[in-house]
Amino acid sequence: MLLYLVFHRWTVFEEAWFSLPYLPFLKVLDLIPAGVFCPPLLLVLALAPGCILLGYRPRLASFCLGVVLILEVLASKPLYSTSQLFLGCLFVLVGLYRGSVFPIRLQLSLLYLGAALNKALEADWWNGHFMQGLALTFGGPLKPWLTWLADAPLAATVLGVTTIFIEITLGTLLLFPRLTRPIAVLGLFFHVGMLLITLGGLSWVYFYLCAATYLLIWNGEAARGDYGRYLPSLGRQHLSYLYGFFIAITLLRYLRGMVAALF
Amino acid sequence: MESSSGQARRVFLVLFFGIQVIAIGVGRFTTTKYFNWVPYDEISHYQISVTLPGGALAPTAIAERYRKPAAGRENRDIDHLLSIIRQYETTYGAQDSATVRVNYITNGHRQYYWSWPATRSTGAGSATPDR
Repeated sequence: MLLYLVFHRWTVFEEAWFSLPYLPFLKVLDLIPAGVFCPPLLLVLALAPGCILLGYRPRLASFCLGVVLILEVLASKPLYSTSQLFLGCLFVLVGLYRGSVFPIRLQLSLLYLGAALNKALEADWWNGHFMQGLALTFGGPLKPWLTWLADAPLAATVLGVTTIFIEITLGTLLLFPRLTRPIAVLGLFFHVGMLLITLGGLSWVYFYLCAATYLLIWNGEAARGDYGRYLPSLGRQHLSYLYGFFIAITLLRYLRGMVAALF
Repeated sequence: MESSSGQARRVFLVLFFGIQVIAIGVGRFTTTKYFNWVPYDEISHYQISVTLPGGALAPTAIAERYRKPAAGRENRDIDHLLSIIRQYETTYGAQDSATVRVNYITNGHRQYYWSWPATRSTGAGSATPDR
């Protein structure tokens, strides 16, 4: 989560540099000058990541960091980002962790169910228009396949409807601890699938955040000694592989960005 | 028996998740989808043009004004972008007498333009299919 914050949401630090509030959600925040509003945010953003990494009052640091991320969103409509809000909520919940990962499960479940509900009420997700629009938006090596999708309303409809049902399934079954492993695997496949379809153009953020949340849940269960009960064949080694995969993807993405910038 | 800090934590968590559930419900009745956990459910390509009494604004000036690119892709409900413009023009920029037009295509097939000031009496801006 810290890696994501530092490498992918650098705007969090930029915006806190005396440019908030700006078009806030809460009008009352407009009454606070940037010179008063920003320094406490900057202080937390500067200190909390270090405290978490060094293990110095990590839960308090995590809670404060989460509150600051949520406060930033409230202070600026242009800065609004579902992923930043979700990240803020996760940090807050980690700060409140007292042995049960259920609140973290519930947070991820709400994300999936909220997204599924909205999709289910949008005609464009049922008639394939969203997926066809998506196919026209993204290019790259899979362009021919995506162009085919744009001309195949049935396939686009199936993809759209499948997405809705996968999100409902993930959001519901996440609440059952015994199903952690299959749900996490399904979730990761789902996010990797979205990455493939958009060629990494759209869903990186949620791949990172959801993978981090699954790791939080698994680690929390491991810390409670629930491995044996809930995850009989999942060992620390598997978690290490997941972490490695997570970091490798991050490095690959940066390498690709550096190569693109150089040539 | 649960300590007072444990009870406070429990109350905080109930409120924390209760607000989120309410927000998801309220989102069914609003055009904007802030705080409803609705990521990437609609994709719009848009272009903003702004004219002040002194002339048209350059793309960089538009980006500075709304802190959004003058042209680009909005991965959430297009009403998010429109609400930013509306809020700016009714608060910080209320004295500017700006004329704003946003052309956008949603999900690759719905083409609209939105203009400010509103042509309707609602004062909310107006979105019209672009033909």
